[in-house]
Amino acid sequence: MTDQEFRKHMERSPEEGMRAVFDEYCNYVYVIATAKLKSCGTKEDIEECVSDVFTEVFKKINYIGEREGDLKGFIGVIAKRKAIDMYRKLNVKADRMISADDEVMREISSGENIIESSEMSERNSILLNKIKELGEPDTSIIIKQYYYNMTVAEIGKAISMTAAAVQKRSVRARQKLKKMLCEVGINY
Amino acid sequence: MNKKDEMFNEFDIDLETADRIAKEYPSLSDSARERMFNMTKKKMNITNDAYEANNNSVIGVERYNRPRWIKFAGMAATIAIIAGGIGGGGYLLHNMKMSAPPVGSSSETDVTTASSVTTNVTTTETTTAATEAKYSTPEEAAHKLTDNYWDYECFFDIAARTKADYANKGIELKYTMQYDGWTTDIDVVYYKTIDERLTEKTMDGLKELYNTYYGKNYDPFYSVNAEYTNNYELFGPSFTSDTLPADGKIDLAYTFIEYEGELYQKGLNNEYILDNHWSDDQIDVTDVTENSFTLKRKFNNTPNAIFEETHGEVTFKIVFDEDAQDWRIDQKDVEYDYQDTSAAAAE
Repeated sequence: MTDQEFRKHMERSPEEGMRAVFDEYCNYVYVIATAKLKSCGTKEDIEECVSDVFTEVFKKINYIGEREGDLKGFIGVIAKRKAIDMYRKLNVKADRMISADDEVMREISSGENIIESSEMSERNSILLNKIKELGEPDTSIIIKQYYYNMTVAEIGKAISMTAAAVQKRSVRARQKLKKMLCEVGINY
Repeated sequence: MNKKDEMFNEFDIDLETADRIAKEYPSLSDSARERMFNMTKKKMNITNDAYEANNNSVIGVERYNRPRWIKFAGMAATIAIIAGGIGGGGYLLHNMKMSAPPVGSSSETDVTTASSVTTNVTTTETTTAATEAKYSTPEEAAHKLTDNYWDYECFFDIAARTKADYANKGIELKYTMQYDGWTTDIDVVYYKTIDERLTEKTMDGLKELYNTYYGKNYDPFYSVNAEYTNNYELFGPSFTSDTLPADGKIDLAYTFIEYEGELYQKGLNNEYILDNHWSDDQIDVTDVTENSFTLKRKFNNTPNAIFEETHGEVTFKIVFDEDAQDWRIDQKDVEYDYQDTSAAAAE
């Protein structure tokens, strides 16, 4: 969806426009929020963050220009920023210190860090390709578990397996994945 | 689930990968989506209500009618000032001409004149463009090299942070990334460069722009945290539809390539344009030697819907380039000022 399409949609029917954008980008925003918050937040925190992102996006409709560009990038950046805000709040609540050298802090500037972000992007691409090479149902299990922060019980329900079977497959899949990554020079 | 699994904790997600996962493996249940959408709607209503309930806000503007006669009075006053300036200036010039002492009437004037003549002759005989450049003050060289820094630095990085024709399909290629003795193929897409600041959209025009500001030892990819920068190169090869590699493979990740005589730039996510500018004209020049000096300048951006306000400082090492016979940027380092918002977040 382009910026212009989004604006037109919102002018015609705000409720429908919001629904369309939400349905199209909900998974995308959820994955971004999960990556940032899974180490310190709960599922509720992630859902809260996702709703904050879309609230911000809908509020900023007047800022969006007449570009033919994809709305995805715009939403993605807001999602990253909101997730960082939430991460900070959760760490303050938990009384944890955030160092200025922290990756999250560095990302805020993001102006001169495109080399690092490019490397990160490349490594993520390799990781995802390797997860896909695991084959089903292991690919789905790992993706749901790590990119969507789902529990083994939830995954089991989604792919019609018992929680115990999901857990067993997950352990084996992770071991296999480590080996595959090791073969391309990424070690843990 | 083991949340401490370092395999995934070490990887922060990038927007491209998040998009791939969301498209290829959409995993949110209908109930979860509905819950989050309702939460969003509720927040939207709360926000709108909050705006409406704020009775202390001021709405609308008061119209002010400026009396018409002020315009004519202003015009008359302006004409009177200009006429006074011209008349007064002419009068003073006329008086100066009348009262100017004859040449040689004063010994003091003799010395001054002789000295200035000698200096002029010497300068004319020995001055070349190169020495002029070398003997320009560090401040002059600093301004010359960096006043328009933000207009050109955006082109010279691992990817250009400038406008490209993202609306049309780019050229899809791949390069082999090498790190720690391992290799892997990485997809890269090149989009046509359309930035109006590049008047000459060819590789030669781009190289000329680069060489105007940067010295031969400058590393455009240097960053304290960057690894494997040996995979990158700014200026790539030229291709035509006939010479484009059949397997789509290029040897390095070039920031720019030429295709059918036109410049194409590497696409990194979507448009990645920052609006950085110097905070003021203040320059801080230190460590001055005959052939080098250090320059520090403070910058900030214009915040917009995507980027929040950012402040920082760029430190340049400027050296005199013997080949170019002019000053060039040899090294640069950027430091950001982080604002501690944890107190605000705690409230």
